Amino acid sequence: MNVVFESGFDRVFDTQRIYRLMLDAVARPGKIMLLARPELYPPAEINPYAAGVAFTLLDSETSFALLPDNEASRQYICLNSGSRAEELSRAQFIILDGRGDFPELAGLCRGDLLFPERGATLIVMVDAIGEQGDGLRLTLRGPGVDGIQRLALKGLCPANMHRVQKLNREFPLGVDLILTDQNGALAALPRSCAVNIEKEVTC
Amino acid sequence: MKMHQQGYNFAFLDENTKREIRRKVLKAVAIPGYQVPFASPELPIARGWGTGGIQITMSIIGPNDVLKVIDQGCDGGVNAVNIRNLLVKTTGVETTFDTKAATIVQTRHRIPEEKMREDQILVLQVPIPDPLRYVEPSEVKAREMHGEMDYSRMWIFLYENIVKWGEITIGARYPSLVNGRYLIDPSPIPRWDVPKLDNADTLYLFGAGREKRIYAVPPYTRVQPLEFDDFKFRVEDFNGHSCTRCGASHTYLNEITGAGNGQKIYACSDSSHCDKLRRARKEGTD
Repeated sequence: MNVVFESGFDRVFDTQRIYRLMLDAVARPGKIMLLARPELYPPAEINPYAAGVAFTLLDSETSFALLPDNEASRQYICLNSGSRAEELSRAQFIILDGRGDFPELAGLCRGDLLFPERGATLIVMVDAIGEQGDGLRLTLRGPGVDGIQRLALKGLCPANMHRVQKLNREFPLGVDLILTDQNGALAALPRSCAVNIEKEVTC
Repeated sequence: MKMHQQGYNFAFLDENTKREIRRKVLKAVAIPGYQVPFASPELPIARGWGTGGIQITMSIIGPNDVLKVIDQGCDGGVNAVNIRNLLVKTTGVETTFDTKAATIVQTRHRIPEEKMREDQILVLQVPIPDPLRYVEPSEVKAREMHGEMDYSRMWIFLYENIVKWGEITIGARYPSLVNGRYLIDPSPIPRWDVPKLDNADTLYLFGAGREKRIYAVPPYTRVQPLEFDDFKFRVEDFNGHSCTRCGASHTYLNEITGAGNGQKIYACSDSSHCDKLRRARKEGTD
């Protein structure tokens, strides 16, 4: 297998730019940020923007799991971040293809009352993120949202969203989502956010 | 952008350290008011001199940021000057005294008078992150109390204050409930500044370097200073005083003993805002 070592990605300045957009996105759930295309050439299963997010957050102190798991992507993430692959229920970061239907999501780590921050972070890949449009339509309330925020996610299986809602039922326990699409749009759904599914579509 | 000094990584910290802080800051924002532990490595400034705030700033700052650093509201305070110098030396970013022109404001003990915007971040230096320190010395027990949202001893502490002194004796560091869930120590800002945390446009990040904790108040988040139905929270009362420099009577004032006659005089704590008001007044009279 030919795994690419990414040398064009600037680990100081590219990650800083991505991080600031991510921070703004997590502070304002549903706000859509636009990432510049990073110099990354991941396997077909991973979109380059999700890879950029992963390399901004992952290193040898962290663990990750892929859904669905595949050898090429796992090696690619390991090689380029130093992070270690871990079983799903213990992984700190989950790189998820939102289109698939994954009952395993129900078993993710959501932290405990003493250390709720140990709940997993999901890097979710979808087809398109918009305020309106096709796909799963959400309305968001809670910290970071001034009143109400709408979000439309194309290519996110509704069953996965239901599982996340279940994981996040008992704040402060839960998981935090960072979503990226094919065109570089990025949005976040931290666990503090109350998500209401307005319109479902089958995926 | 000016060049930053060579021989160091951009913003001094190595990338692993930044990444850890970045991960912890995201969790702090996702769980508003919860104190996330972090490694807090050594810096060229001793712990307890603002290293929590410095580490957050170093982890989020980029070459295009415009930085403002204040100490007790003043851009010229010794802590502010040293932190600004360190950050400029290691990043080369532009700095400003003008709150409106900054993208990141790092502060000790004040929130600027001018309302901050959505595109700005305020980083606060925190000496003691846990408000339960007043009533519970053990971190292990305080962590359980936060986990269970058991704040009864804090309420009793405030009640006993009122019974003994007829007043809640906490001035700065006024305990406040974030998003109806976690009690925070908003750092030693005066009560005057506490309402600015509530439902703000700006993201507030809190860093305690010595105590190794990071927490956050996201924008548009409820922040309620603890109060009783029959004993309400109130801010400092300057009772008819105004700033001797700019004449403002709607700002947080420092009480100063006048040289020579020993009389009390008052001056704005936020020095750059005071300068702005002075300039405006001068232009008005010219």
